[in-house]
Amino acid sequence: MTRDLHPVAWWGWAIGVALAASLTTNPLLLGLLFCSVWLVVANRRGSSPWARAFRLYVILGAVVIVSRLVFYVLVGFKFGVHLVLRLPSIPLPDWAAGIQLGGDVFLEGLLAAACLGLRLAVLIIAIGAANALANPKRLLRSLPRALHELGTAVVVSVSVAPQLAESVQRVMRARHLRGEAGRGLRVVPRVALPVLQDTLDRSLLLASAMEARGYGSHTDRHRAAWLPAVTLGGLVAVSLGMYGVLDPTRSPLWMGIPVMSVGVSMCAAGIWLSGRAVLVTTYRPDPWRLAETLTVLCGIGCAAGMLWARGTDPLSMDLQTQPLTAPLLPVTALVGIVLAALPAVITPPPVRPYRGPQ
Amino acid sequence: MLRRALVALLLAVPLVSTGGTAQAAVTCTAEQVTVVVQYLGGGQVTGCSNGDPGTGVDALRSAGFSFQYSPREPGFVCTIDSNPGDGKCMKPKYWSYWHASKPGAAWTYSSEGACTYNPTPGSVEGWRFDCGAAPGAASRCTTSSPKPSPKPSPKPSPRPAPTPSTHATTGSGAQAGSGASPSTTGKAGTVSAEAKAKAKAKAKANARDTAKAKATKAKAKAKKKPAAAAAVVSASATPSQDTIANAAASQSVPRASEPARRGTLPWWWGAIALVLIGGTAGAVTVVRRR
Repeated sequence: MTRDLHPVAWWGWAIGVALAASLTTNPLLLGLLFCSVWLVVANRRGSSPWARAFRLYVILGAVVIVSRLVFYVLVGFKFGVHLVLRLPSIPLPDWAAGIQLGGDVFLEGLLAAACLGLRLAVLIIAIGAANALANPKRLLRSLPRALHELGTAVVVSVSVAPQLAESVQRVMRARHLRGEAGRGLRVVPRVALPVLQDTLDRSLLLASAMEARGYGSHTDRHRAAWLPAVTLGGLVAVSLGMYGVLDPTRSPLWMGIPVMSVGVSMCAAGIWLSGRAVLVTTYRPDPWRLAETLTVLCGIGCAAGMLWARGTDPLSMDLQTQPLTAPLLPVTALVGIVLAALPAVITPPPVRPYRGPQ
Repeated sequence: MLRRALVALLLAVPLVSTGGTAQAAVTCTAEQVTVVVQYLGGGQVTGCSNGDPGTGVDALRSAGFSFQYSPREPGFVCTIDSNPGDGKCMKPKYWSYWHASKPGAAWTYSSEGACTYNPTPGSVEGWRFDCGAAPGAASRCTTSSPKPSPKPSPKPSPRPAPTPSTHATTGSGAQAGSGASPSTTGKAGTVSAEAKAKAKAKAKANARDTAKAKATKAKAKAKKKPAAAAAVVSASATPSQDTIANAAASQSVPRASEPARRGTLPWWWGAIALVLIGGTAGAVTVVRRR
């Protein structure tokens, strides 16, 4: 049976994989994680425009690694014993002490920099996978009800860009059919006006269509004035708590987890209470079935495997450069990576457009 | 690395010469750089560099100390002589890096990384594993950092007391500069978890008694010959934990010749898995495109 998986499930899986990638600089593990993500995307992506964007994220990852290496050669700290590249070092004044411009490049430092770049690249690619697999419009539909109006506005604005491109293409085609030649910048004023008019027409059409379906109609249900204060206070508490969690040495103990949990519950309560005032039903809601739960569990399992491996044998999770040794493969991390690849087979295949009898 | 250095720099501003002077019991020549390393337990070891080193880490290495950078922040010195054994070297305790113009002068927190700083011959380089305290000064690890466990920690040393041979070859010996009291009080709870697990209860009790006896002896001696007594304390009580930690840590450092550890597979298993998963993904991509 083909159906699209719930977008939140894909995001849960991708965040687990990204967390796992952030825990290691072992190039074997990072390479395996990338291959798992690639396998899942190759096997389970739809035919939508955003599904084809995965390639762009991979290219972005490659750019990250290359720029990391370039900056390492320029300003990085060079260490190691195996000389790769002999470069002159530019001396800097005292106030810039600690920054090394140029200098001989050694294999150890270069590999360490490449692995750090690879870690960031895999993280970006994991998030890119979620973007390729999950339909962003359906993701916005699963927002809490209090944020319903915000979600609607975002969906409308997200669909503007592709519509604009389509509109430009249509105007250009019409000009071409009329025999009006011309390219380059001179055409812009002649194309801009019809495109603008087209966009306005379309917006008015969309507005009336939404109004006919009941969007923007207000209920007279009372919304308490203090509810926004609760949510706002919760957000302030979350940021304070975050500060406490990230720097436990310099802030009082109560400022960490306690304030953070109070803030999170205040936010959740505020959103839930204001959601009760919004009467919205969802047309054909995305179901949450076993495959969704399993996908999220795979992401959590992947992160847990890496965490376990880091807890038991932290040295095997990083590339050892002193001395340079071949990376090891922790078994629990490997199990986590296999879990990350599982959604390629355990999820239902996505709905594909009908291509006619073959 | 740079960010780490900046953070260290910010922390350093109020730390400049807060107590402790460069007490080097070993006198190096004017062409050499004196390197003072104080481990977690308070044990202080002094060495002399071999000639004029180019950088702080060169001085450390040529004075007979081995060190490791943090694998995630290359350039940040994480362990010296495999201390700390558990590899937790960033928060709140870390290896702080200090300079002093000559033996006996006040410590200054380094404003530059040890990989680029060029120490002048005749100066003193200080390393201290603490929350930013200078070598020989009182510990700065106080509020809201994990409390040291109250158990008395001295363990029977598995090897003869380490008067480090590497340091001895450079014409120096293990010495303690800070005196008996800081090294004995600071010692509680500084043993790594592995070391704790290894020691048996009986051995603990024995060691406690012997260590106490040694410490009192050392204190008694200290009134007459301070330097020698301090050396006894650091050699008998404190570094013995360090050696345990060393033993535990050195086993876990991977070596090329070493067989694979428990729970890990050699790299070619990873290569096979990489080819399998990557090959499948590539095949699926090619098939789908048609």
